[in-house]
Amino acid sequence: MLNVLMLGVGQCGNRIMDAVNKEAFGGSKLAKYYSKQKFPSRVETVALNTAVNDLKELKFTAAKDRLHVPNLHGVGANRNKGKQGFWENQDMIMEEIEKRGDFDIAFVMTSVSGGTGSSFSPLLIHELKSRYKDITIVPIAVLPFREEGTIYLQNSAFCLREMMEVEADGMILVDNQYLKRCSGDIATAYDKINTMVAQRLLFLIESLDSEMLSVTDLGDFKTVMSGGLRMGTLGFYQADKSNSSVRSAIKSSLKEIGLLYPANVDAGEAGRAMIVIQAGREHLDVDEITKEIETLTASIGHVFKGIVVKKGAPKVLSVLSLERVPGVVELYEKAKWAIQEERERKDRAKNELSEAFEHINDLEEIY
Amino acid sequence: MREIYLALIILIAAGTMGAWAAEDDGVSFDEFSMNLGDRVDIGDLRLELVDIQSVRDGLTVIRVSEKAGKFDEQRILLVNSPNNFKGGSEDGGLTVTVVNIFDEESAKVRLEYPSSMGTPRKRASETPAASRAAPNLIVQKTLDSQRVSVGDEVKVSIIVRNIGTDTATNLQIYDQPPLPEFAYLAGYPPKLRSELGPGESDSSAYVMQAVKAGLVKVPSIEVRYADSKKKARSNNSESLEITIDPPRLPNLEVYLSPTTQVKPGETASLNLTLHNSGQAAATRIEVRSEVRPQDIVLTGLDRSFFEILPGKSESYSGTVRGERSGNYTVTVEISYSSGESTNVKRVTADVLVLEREYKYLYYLLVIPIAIVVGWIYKRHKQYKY
Repeated sequence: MLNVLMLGVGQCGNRIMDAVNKEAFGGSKLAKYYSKQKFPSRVETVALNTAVNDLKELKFTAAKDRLHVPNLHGVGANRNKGKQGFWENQDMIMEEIEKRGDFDIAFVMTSVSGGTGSSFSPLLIHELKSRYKDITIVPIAVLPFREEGTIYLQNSAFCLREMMEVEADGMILVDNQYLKRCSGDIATAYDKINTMVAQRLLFLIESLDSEMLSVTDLGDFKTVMSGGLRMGTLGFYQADKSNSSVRSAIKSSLKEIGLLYPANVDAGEAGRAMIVIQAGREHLDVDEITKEIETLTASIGHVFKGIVVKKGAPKVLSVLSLERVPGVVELYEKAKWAIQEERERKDRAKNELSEAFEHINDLEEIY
Repeated sequence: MREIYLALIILIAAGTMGAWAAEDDGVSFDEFSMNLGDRVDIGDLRLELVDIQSVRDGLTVIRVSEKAGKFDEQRILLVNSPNNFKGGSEDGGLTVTVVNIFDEESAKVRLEYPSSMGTPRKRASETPAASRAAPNLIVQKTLDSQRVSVGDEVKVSIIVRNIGTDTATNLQIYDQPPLPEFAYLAGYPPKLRSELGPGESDSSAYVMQAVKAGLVKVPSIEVRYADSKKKARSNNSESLEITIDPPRLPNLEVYLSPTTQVKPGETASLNLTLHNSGQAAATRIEVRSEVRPQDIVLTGLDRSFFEILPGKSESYSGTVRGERSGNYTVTVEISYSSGESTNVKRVTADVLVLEREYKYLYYLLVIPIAIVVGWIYKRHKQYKY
């Protein structure tokens, strides 16, 4: 059985983790009062935040799993303050994690644009790497809406870079800008995105820790995530009765509409893939699955396949490592512009203030 | 054979002749009913009933005189005591015995005389007997009841009426000695006026209380008195009988609810009825109650009553409050006075305090709800930050 640590850092990470806990209860709002969480493995969840109000908003995460970093009431999107706060409370944070036992894999869920998540996550990953020698750490990095502001853009740019530098075992990208199309208003979009991420993560954990007809394990996952840019994403598709073809389901899971980060698999943007198929026996035509996987291998390179026999229509989870991330590149371009813009604004303001001060040069107060 | 019969006849005839000869030498007697002044003549002697001094004492005055001689003797004779005059009948005189005194004016006299004196002849008094003025008392003794019970009072009334023609003097009442069956309460001994003129009456009464059961013969009362000639007289009432029944007693019958069931924590009534089925009032009635074991509360049964008349009842209720299930015994002790003694009666009643009814069905509903609420609260606390 896998020992899984799921860390939700910052407001965004907390909410995704709360959605994971909700889905573990079966998705019902009241299930926490009468039901038990049904994690496929031993899963420990910890919500970490500097803003106590963000922790209070959580509904499906046990109180004992909510960790407030004291003396900080949010860092105001300032990553320097955030890093300072982490260092000051590093021992307390790591002690709280370590007392939950040993882990095989850790998912660090965070927004790369916010204050706490973007500043804590790289340091936390580094600290986890140093304390747990054999742990696989995969950040779930949520990219911001591009119009959210210059600070968020520059935070995203620096956070992504730092997370790549601390040698995480790949990174799963979730692009809010791309997923916003799921719903009209922002609040509903956030909820839907969080739910989508939570469902796919649980599916992924299940696929790594299940007795399968065709096995995919943690090693396969690590191999996939280490491919390409070590950045990847998750695709998902659930067939319905009208079209229960497993082959069609596999294809659909790789389409842009089913991915958390836009990637054109057919155009060779995916480096490696792991396809996990869950369906009733009547839907599991191994020949068709094999043919489809062979087709994918032509465009992706290497594809691991896992098959889980479970009643119902086919559900397919695809884990992709990407070789091209035009969205991220674009984000960095915007971040660069944002940083310059921020600097110009600051200079302009400074100059304006300096000019204002010049009016009273050589003058003294007279009373 | 003829010679034998002839000889017997001769013997019988010879015997008879001898007897006649002896009678000629013997004593004869006759009895005469005589009024005052009547005389009996025999030979030269004359016997006269002069007076009757006392019927009660049996004293009469008899006079015997010689017609042409010097003998003239008057004696007071006691009834049935032979008196010899002039030597008595054995010596040629007379022997007189007053056999019976009929009343104050007549008596029966037995006269014994020598047969040789001839045949006595009675001569009535030549002078009409003058009516004598004499008192005559009628004495009545009555009881107000012929049947009483021990403890009851009996009123004895005495009425004396002079129906005679003379004044009765020196009246004295002789009531027979106090009877052991009675206690004499008031008016005893009875008193009457010392004199009662003709037609007058007097009365007296006394009260006694029956103290011993049985059939009692109440003796007559005697009134002694004297007439104007100081002659002693007396009259008696008739004797009476009275039945004294055993004493009348109260009898309290006690009725207590025999068995009472009560639920734990609730109260039930215990009804107590005291009924006097006796013939006397029960007095100073005290009712005391207790319960064993003392795990239930008993109130309201302890009471006091001054009296309960015969045939009357008193009913009231007490309460028991059950605390712990089980069988309990309520004992009620009633003491009452029946005059001379104190009686005690006890009655018991069982009180069953039922087992507490646990409403399991209720718990079947409540317990799951409580578990669910507790579980939800626990979960709420787990997820409340």
